[in-house]
Amino acid sequence: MTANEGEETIVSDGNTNDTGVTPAPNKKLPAPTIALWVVVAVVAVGLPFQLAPFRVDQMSSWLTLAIAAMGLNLLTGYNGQISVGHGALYGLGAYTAGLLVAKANVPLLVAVLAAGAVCFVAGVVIGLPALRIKGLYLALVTLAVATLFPLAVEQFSSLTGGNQGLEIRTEQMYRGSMRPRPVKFASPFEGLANDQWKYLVFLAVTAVCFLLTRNLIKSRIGRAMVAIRDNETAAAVSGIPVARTKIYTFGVGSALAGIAGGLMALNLGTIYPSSFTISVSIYFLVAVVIGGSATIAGPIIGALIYGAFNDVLIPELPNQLQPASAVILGGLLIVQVLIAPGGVVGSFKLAGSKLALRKARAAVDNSAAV
Amino acid sequence: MSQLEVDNVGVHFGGVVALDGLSFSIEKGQICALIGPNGAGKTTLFNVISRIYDATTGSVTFEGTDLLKAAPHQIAHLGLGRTFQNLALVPGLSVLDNVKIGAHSRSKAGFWTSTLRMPQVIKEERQLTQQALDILGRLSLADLAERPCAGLPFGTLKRIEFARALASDPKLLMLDEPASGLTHGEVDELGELIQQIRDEFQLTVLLVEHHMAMVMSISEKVVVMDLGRKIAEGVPDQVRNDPLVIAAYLGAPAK
Ligand SMILES: Nc1ncnc2c1ncn2[C@@H]1O[C@H](COP(=O)(O)OP(=O)(O)OP(=O)(O)O)[C@@H](O)[C@H]1O
Ligand SMILES: [Mg+2]
Repeated sequence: MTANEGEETIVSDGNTNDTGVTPAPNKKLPAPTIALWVVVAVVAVGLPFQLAPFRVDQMSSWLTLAIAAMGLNLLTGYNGQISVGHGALYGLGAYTAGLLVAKANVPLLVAVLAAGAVCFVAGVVIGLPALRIKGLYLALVTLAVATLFPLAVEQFSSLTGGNQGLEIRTEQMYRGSMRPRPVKFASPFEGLANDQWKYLVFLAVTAVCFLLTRNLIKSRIGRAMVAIRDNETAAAVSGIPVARTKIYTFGVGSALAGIAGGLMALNLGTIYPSSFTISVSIYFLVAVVIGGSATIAGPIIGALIYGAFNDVLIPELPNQLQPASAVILGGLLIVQVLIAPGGVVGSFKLAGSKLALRKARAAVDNSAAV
Repeated sequence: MSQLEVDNVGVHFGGVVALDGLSFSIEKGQICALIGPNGAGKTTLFNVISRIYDATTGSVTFEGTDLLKAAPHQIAHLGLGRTFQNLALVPGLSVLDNVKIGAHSRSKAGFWTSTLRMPQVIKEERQLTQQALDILGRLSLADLAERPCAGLPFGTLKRIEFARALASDPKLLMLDEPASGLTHGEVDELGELIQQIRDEFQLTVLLVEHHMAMVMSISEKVVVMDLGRKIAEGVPDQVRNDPLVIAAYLGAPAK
């Protein structure tokens, strides 16, 4: 007996249109969506030409936050594996890229990709024991990883520079000879400053990460991730390999953190163990929650809001309020969770579906009135 | 050889014996009902076949494959689809996506091809959507396709689960109390629908149901359980008049 014997497809293939069949919705992007994306692209590319260099640098760092938050959103938002240790993978990515560039003179973007690959592997390794622990316990274990990371960096100080920091220098032409100089993204275009070029490179990397993540979320794997988050039994019974999917998600989420960390290291030029404490992990979570957990654009929006809050708003506050910035952020977060638990994107979605419902009701009322 | 062979299956939960040496078999294309009073072990058997529970003894063979050696997610790939007595849907996904989850076992796009959204991924996704919509239409659920599952009535959710199980294109469809939460008229329709779908797609149905009128009218074979054991087996008319069956039902607390 062969496995395929008598096997029949229960459903018509996509082309036949039998009676009573609802055609698949047309997936073309609506005009307002396209317009929105054009505006976003123009603003994102145009901003560095309007702002002071230090702001451009800050925006570059917001982008790295966005990439890391995308990874955490995949892992925690979509797949339900609560991680409070994402900052450690970010740090691992930063040191990987930093060391590759400083010690082996690896091209910058190659080093960033390598940081992603190393963190993918690290994520898989952490993901394996994570199969056995769930929810709060997983949060605790990842918390431990986040706490231990800076200590590990100090431990290997001969390699990492320990508390002195790792200064990332590359051989550059300076005053007529090749010398080790602080790492920089040298602009290949005249009239385009290095900080602007760096920002545009970061923006391109962010855009690519965003597109790939979005593809994954919208695919059958993305559905599987959500199914595992909401109901592991339902997922397994439908043929989803639960363990493998969770491990891959841990890997991909960590790879994004690694890429983000790699960019961040090259942005800062010098990295310290204290740059990767537990608070970094918390900021990623904050960005995901503000923007909207388990939404595609949420982490980016959340990262930008958080970055603007930290770098633009807080410095404007009177001096005596400065130390209270964490308290202010905490307070705002509580307000947000109370009035808009779905974050920015979640709230828009909710408003959209309410509007649609009201329209539908109105249509029904109208037809009833006739 | 029968399509599904349950042989001497036993399951213990601590001191509770949920299944006690249960054996029966189903032929390809049959509608076989599994009935018995509450706590007889019907759902436990489903969970053994789905590899959610481990059997203490015995074996379950499907088309020659030992199911008890398979991993839970492989069961769907072997051609077994099921629904749950108490529902196991994905509240975070739309009705349509829940049905598409059911098609996971017969779709292919992998992690990397999905990430790159290769042309074959787009094509497969379009087919999955169309097929899921067809099934939803078939079960009069088409209007709900874009809605989230959360908040829909129990009877509707059971039908969505039915749709999800069908989406896997199963050879053996296991339904755990599909009629619960339905009105009388809807129960009759469901019975007809189960027969139609069986005929059209030549699948085998294992049906757990307390609704006796439906069981007796659509089943070709009935297996009666009590306290984890099989107490009778046969065509509906044989089983209906079996004194052991009557005793089990009269002796059991009323449902
Ligand atoms: N996970 C479990 N842990 C402990 N006992 C269980 C478990 N699952 C089932 N049982 C017990 O096994 C026995 C059989 O339960 P099962 O759910 O299979 O019955 P059933 O025939 O499906 O009943 P019903 O018609 O009420 O759905 C019962 O005594 C039940 O309490
Ligand atoms: Mg049951």
